[in-house]
Amino acid sequence: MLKNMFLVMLGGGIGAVVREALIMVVPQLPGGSEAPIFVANMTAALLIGLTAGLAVKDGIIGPAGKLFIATGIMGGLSTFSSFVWGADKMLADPSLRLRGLLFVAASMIFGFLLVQSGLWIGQRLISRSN
Amino acid sequence: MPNITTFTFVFIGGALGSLLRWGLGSAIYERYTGKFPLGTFVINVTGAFVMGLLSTLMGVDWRDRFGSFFTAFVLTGLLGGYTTFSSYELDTVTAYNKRERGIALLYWVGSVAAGLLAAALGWWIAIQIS
Repeated sequence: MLKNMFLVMLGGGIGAVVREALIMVVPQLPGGSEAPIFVANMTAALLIGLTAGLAVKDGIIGPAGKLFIATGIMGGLSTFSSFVWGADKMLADPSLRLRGLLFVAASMIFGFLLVQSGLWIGQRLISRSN
Repeated sequence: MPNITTFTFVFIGGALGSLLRWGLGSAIYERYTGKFPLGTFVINVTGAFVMGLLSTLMGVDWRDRFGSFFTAFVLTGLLGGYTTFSSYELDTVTAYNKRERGIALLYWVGSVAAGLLAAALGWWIAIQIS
C-alpha cells in the first residue's frame, strides 16, 4: 500500500514537472496557450496506450510498473482541467471560437487514435518477444 | 519566482494531486462496478469545476500557468495531477475495444461536455461571490 502510494506520487510529480517544462518550451500560438496542453496530452495518450499494451498478462510491465507509469507519470503529464478550462475561455472569445472547437475536437480524436496506436505497438512488441 | 522553486511546487502538487486521483478512483471503483468509467469521470469533472472556480477567483489568466505559488502548486501541480486526459482516452478506447460502443461514445463525449460545463459553472459561481 505504502509502496503503491509512493509509486503514484513519484510518477505524478515527474509527469507534472515534464508538463511544466513543456509549457515553458513549446511555442505559444498567438492569443492562446493550448499548444503545450495539446502536446502534453497527446504524448501521454500515446504512452499510456503503449504502457497498457505492454502491461497485458505475461507482458513486460507488471502491476507496479503500470501504477508508476500509467497512473503516475501519464496521469501527471496529462491534464483534463486545463484542457476544458482553456477550451471554455477560447469558446467564449469570438475571435478564438473556431480555434477552440478545433482544439477540443482534435484533442478528443487524436487522443483516441494515439491510445489505439500505442496499444497496437505494445501488443506487437509483446507478441514478437514471446 | 526562480525556476527551481516553481518546479518543486509543481512536483509536490503533481504528486499530491495524483495520490488524490488514485485514492478517490480506487474508492469509487470499490463501490461501483458498472461498465461506465465513473471514477475518472467524477475526478475530471470535479477538477474542471475547481479549475474554473479558482482561476477566476484568483484572477489568473488561463494562459498563465507558472511563476507563482498558486499557479505552480495549485493549478499546474494539484489540479493538473488530479485530473487526467490520458486515462480518459484509455477508458474510452478500452470500452470501444470491448465492443461497448455506446458506453465509449457516451463517456468520450460526455466527459468533455460535462467538463466544459463544470469549468463554466465554477467561473459563474466565482463571478457571483467575488
